[in-house]
Amino acid sequence: FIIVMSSTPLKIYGPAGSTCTMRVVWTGLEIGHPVETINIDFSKGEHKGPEHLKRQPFGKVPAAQDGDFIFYESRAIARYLIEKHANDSKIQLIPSDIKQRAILEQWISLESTTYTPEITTLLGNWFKIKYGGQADAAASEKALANLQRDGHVLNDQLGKHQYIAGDHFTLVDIFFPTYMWYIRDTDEIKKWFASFPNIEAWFKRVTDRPAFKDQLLPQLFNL
Amino acid sequence: MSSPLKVFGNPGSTCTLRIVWAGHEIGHPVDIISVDISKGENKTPEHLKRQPFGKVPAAQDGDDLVFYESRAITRYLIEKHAATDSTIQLIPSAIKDRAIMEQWLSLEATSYSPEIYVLLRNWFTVKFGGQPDTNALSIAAANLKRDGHVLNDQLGKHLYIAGDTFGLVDIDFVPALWYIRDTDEVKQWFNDHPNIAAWFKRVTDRPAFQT
Repeated sequence: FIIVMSSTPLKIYGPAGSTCTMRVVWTGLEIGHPVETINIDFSKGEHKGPEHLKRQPFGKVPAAQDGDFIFYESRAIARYLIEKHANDSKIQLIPSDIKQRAILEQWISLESTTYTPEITTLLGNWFKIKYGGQADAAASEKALANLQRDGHVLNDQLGKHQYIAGDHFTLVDIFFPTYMWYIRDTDEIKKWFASFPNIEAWFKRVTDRPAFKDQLLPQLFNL
Repeated sequence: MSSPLKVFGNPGSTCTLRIVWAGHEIGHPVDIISVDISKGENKTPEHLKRQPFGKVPAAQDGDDLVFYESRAITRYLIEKHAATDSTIQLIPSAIKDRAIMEQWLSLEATSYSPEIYVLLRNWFTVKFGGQPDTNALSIAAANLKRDGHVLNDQLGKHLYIAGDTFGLVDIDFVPALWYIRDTDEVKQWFNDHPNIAAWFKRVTDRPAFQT
């Protein structure tokens, strides 16, 4: 007979509170295969130390380890985690139908190349202000202008569907809000939400999910 | 026999080029329907229904799928035909090989291409008689210099970006670089990173690209 061994959790190097690491942690919680996070201490420069650079040559987080297999990029790690557990997940975050997958890939492409770069600018400035650095007001202004220009497409989609890629919660609904979470109360995001109420409603909907609210939130930074 | 994927775009556009190249590589060329940006055809209500940002390309497969984003379209084209043709190897079957592919696809879209696109836009501006943004150019060149070693090291160990087989990552990476291959910035980048230069020649020498 066959003994089914439960696999050891995927090791993730990076604090759960880091925006990119959060994507992977949330994915694991949603599918019922939580990952194991191993802290990388930025204040001690651990991310630039030789050991971490072997895992992630840019000195960033997260990196993942499965046995001897090491790789990085949060979107790649989240995908791997999903594929690895394709047959025993609580929820299907990547559709099996190729045409539905095409729509998901369209939105992941938009997330990573159109929307998130602007949100990253806002996040970077927010962080600088919080820690007493010089913020780049012009850059924030431009980022918000771009979000205002492009928001209608996402807003229209979320007027027709509950979630970004359709009527089911999918991987892109994880990729997107993790970058927005820390800056959700800034003037810029409040303005964006005010201009695009469907986006705000979706953001509340997805961050209300038990996996996010009850399991992920307690692991995040108190910022 | 399924009919070819309809692609609304511009054979000269870097993004459309990804899809066209992939189609040739897998022996399933796509059907390009020209959208002439100089005539404003990308801003017609008809096109905006396909691509609400007014950009190219967009794709249509049958009556029930209209979508956009070249990386999504290229992926779809390959997956669709790989499902019935196991000789198509642009996306690996083994899960760990796919993870490495996804890692490099992510790096292409979020680390390298944003800088390459700054260079491309400037090249385009200058080509049409405008003034280059030297500040933006030097920042992009500096970022590429800072991050080039990772790609260069990888291409020192492997013939192609995600491993030893030509794949989707190589296709996603090349088109923007192709147009600006003779600029000072890219020449310098290739000079500083000889494995990247060698890889670029290797992949653009492929018959499907030459087509």
